[in-house]
Amino acid sequence: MLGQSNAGKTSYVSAMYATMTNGVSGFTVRAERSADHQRLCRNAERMRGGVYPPATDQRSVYNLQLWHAGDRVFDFMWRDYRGGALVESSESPQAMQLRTDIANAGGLVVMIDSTELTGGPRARSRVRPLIATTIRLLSTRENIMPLVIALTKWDLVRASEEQTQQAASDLLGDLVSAVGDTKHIYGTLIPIACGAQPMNIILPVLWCLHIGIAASGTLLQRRLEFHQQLVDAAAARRGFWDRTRAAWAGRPNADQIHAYGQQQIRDDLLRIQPLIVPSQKLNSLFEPVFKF
Amino acid sequence: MTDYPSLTITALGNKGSGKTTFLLGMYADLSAGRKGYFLNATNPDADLALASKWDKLLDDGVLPPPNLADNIPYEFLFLDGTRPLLGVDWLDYRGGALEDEVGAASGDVPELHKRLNKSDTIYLVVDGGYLVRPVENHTRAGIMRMGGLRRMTSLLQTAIRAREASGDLAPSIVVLITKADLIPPARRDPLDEMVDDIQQLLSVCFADGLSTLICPVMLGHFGLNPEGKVRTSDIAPHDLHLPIIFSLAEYMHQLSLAASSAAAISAQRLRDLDTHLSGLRTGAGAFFRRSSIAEKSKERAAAEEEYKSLDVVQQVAAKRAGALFGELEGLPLFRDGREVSR
Repeated sequence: MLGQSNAGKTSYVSAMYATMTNGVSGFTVRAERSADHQRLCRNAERMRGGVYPPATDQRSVYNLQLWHAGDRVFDFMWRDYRGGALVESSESPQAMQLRTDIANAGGLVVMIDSTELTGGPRARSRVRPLIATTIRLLSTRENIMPLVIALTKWDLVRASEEQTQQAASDLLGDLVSAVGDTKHIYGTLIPIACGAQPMNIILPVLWCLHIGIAASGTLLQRRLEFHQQLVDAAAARRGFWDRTRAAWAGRPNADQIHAYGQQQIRDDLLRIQPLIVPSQKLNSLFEPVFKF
Repeated sequence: MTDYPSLTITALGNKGSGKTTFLLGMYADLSAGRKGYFLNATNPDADLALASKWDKLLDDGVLPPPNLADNIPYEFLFLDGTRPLLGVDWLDYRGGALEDEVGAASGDVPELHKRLNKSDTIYLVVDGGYLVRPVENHTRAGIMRMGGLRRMTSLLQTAIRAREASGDLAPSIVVLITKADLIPPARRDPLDEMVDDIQQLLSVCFADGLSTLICPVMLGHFGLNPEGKVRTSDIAPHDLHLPIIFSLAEYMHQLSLAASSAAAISAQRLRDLDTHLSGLRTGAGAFFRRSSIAEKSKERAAAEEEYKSLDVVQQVAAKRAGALFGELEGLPLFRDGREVSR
């Protein structure tokens, strides 16, 4: 999760967790550590009363699990950090940690304070480090990856929504087009609010999980196809002569390869099966959302 | 940088002409994306250092101090969306390097000559303050001296000769007119009068074999000689991305020409091999020439492969150059001294 100071990163993770822990469309998120569960729920409770969590002074890592209809579907790690680290040099250990985290991230959630979007050149300058960091990361990626641009504090720009949308389009249009031109980065732009009247809280995390699940499914599908080919090739070779030659050469015979391949197929199917329904359900959640 | 072809850019200009400020503004602009293109410092610390000086201007109106101390090298990546196109090797010269003579105490002056010799594109930075009024006979000498244009001309001529001697193409040139806000709007649009002035002042840029863009840029409406600080409401950057767009367009244009020549040679070789093969295959002795035929066929396949890949490079580079030149619409562009603007 990338964002300048006060973009609302910690508020978001707290509100998201509290919402998801209660369950949405059959999905729930659980923290592995009970201390994290308590902290995030406490933050969310205070936010409902109008008290927002203080700015994060250090990196926080939450090990979370996505559950669907009683099945543990997907484990993921959510990283929050001090916003200032984004604009600190390599002399700062937190900046270095952030750069390592970004390089290894499976998905990126870029948090942009909507109230700062209409500030002319200054707004461009505030958003610039996020764009530069995102482009630097994306230029090195070739695998499937989700990108969420979350426009936070949308409840505070309701009065000037059209103007803010135009500013967002001006500032982020090049990034959106750049991502739209790729085949492997799946982007979405979502206005969110975490206050007393939350808005779209679940979408950023579920988009990441949706694409993450799809990426896992694609990998498993490829494995499945590979093992199917292995089984087919082995089936064509099975027989007395194959067993004799394999025994002589000290290598596995076609019967053994066939059995191994079939076992792998069963395992792959077992892994794919629980992903199918959640993936379809998640897909339907994003129909009204702007994707690129 | 090693994975991509690299473009070396050098900006020449007198102390205070706005080289460093232009770099900061251009980077701030292009690193956030402009017309689908991005410029990204390969070192994140360099990205932050450049941005923080720009932010100081936006936040407090503090103009970046001129770079008086060191030559600062920057390595950038120019991207089309998320696809890296070219590395960009940029050196921000300390102010004053242009005024010193070779062999003076400062070691960076000989370095400047070396650098110019390997530059693919050279920016001649002209302070817009010198172009407020039309250049006249009695003002020309003063402008040339104060603006460092005489020295620029001499350095450019030396660099062109050195590149010619080593078989390299002449660098592309941008006459970068900074502080364009000082120039009255009537002289800025259309640029014809100012172009005439530049042709008088920097005639070297309009010689045969050179491609030159004249590009006025501005950071805002700061007036004459702002004292280190400006009103933040006056900041209005304009066209800062265009010079580097031109540099890349020229690079792609030259690449497409080179690939086209190489493809023509390759096509001729293919035709020669076809003739040779046809001769080998003709007549009763063809059966006894099977090994020669096989060898030539292999050579032909390799030549065809080479031709195809050169053809692809030519087409991609030409398309890319066309798109980039399209961004420069309305700016005076010269080839071999003739205006070829779109």
